[in-house]
Amino acid sequence: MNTADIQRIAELARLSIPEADLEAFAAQFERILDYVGTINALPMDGVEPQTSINAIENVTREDVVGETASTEEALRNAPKKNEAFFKVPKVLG
Amino acid sequence: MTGYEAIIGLEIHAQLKTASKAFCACPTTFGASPNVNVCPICLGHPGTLPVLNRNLVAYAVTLGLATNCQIRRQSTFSRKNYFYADLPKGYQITQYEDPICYGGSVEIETDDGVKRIGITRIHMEEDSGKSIHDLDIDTLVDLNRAGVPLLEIVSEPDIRTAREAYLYLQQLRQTLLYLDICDGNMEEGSLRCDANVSVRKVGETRFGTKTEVKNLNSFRNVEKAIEYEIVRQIEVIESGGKVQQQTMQWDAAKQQTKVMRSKEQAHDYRYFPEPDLGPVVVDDLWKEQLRAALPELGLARKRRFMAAYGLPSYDAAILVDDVAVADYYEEACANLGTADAEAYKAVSNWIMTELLRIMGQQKCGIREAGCTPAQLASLVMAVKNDVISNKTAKDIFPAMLETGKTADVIIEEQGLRQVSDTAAIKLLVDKVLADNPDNLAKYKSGKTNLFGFFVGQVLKASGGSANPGIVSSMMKEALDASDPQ
Repeated sequence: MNTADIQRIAELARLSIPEADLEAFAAQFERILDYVGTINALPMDGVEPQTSINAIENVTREDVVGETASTEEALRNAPKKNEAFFKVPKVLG
Repeated sequence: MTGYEAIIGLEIHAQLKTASKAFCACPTTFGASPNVNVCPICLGHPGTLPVLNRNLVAYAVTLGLATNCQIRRQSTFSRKNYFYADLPKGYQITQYEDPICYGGSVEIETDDGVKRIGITRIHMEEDSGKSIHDLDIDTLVDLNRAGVPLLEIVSEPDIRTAREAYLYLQQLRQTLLYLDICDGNMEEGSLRCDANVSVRKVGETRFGTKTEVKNLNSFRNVEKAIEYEIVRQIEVIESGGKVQQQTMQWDAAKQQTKVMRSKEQAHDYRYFPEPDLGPVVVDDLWKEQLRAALPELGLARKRRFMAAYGLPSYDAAILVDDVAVADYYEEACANLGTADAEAYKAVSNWIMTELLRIMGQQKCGIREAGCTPAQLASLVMAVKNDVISNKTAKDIFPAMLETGKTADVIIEEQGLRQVSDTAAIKLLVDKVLADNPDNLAKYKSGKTNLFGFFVGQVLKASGGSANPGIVSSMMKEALDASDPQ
């Protein structure tokens, strides 16, 4: 991991990391990846990828309409609203 | 632009007609007031968990079977991560590595014959909310659409022209409508289309650099945007440049594509398995139940219409395009009470000329156009049995719509039954000849275009009730027989 990788990850996560901290983060990321990397050393031939830790399948619901929140409830925690809408900073279409 | 060929693939998003959303029980109704079809799950509140709508799976498998796909026995959901205001969770639940359907195809009928367009995959996912950019400073967000189920249908790069892209999209839309799983309305966004377009010199086997064209919200725009992009790319190459890998947006007002983002700005979605949803398993029992419920699809029905009713390809294609019209046609034909190719064609003619016109004017379905299949059948049979002429049929058609009565009833009420009694007609023919000695003389001296005059006089004398075919042949006979005066 180099400082450019850290910058890219920060960008994707919408985080701003001060220039001075980039080196330190790169070192920490490196250590985490090294630790997780020990898995790569294990013999995984013939092991199916596991996508869920629960032995469940087809947990579904019937296609039936249930209760909804009111518009007022939905907007209650919104930092900004405009009548019945959430209001967010201008996003270019 | 000779010397080049285009390579086109389409990504189509179909919004499903489920009652509730993909992962929560909110309704999916279009056009509701903003932020009413919402709950903590589709609002992305912390601590909530999605539960899969069983019909989303059933509809996906149904479309897969209808498009000759393989159905994956076990498939999973993934998270596609990106930040956008109309995506409240910060990720979209979708499928990534193991889409539920793969390896299918759709047949299209081009001018050069039948062509198969491969389907790479069909996967399940959820829709985002809707951003409204009308305000100057802020963007408004409505999350009614967030979590509405979608199928993404990805084609193989088998399409070569804008016309083929149009036909493929049309065929897929028709299939969705026949399956009754999507309403196929491109203007309202329940069917959306993006196109991947590249060009290469004929004979070249490698693909050229492709661009993705978005915002194609009508069939016309799909065809025009692809056409435009093909020409643009060829011009770039011909002038010594290189096509850049970019996402383009179709600007319908300016009729051109413009750059939306370049490769450097491309998203990095960091897909990973959705830990909140278990795997979906479609066993043989479920799959075969869904297969057994498949209706006859458009293309098969078109071919049957041509074989069973003797219809031209043109008629059959128009009739089957709307499943309600196709059903109506078959019901009207069943009401004829006879298997007769001429009558079958007449039913088709009435639908294509009169009923489709009314449907267009009143923006209604065929069942709302005011004429039942039984009424139409009675009208067609009245003409076929020489009870009324085609002209009288056209005249009483509005009355049929207005009153809801069958043609037979109206004919009796208005005394329109045409006279096919040859003795009665012969009297009229003789009278007309006797009353018009001057014209008869002219006719005999060579003015044979007066024939129409004589026929017209007889029809007039009969009050329009005489069978024009019989009048015509009897008049011809009488004129040929009479001596010059």
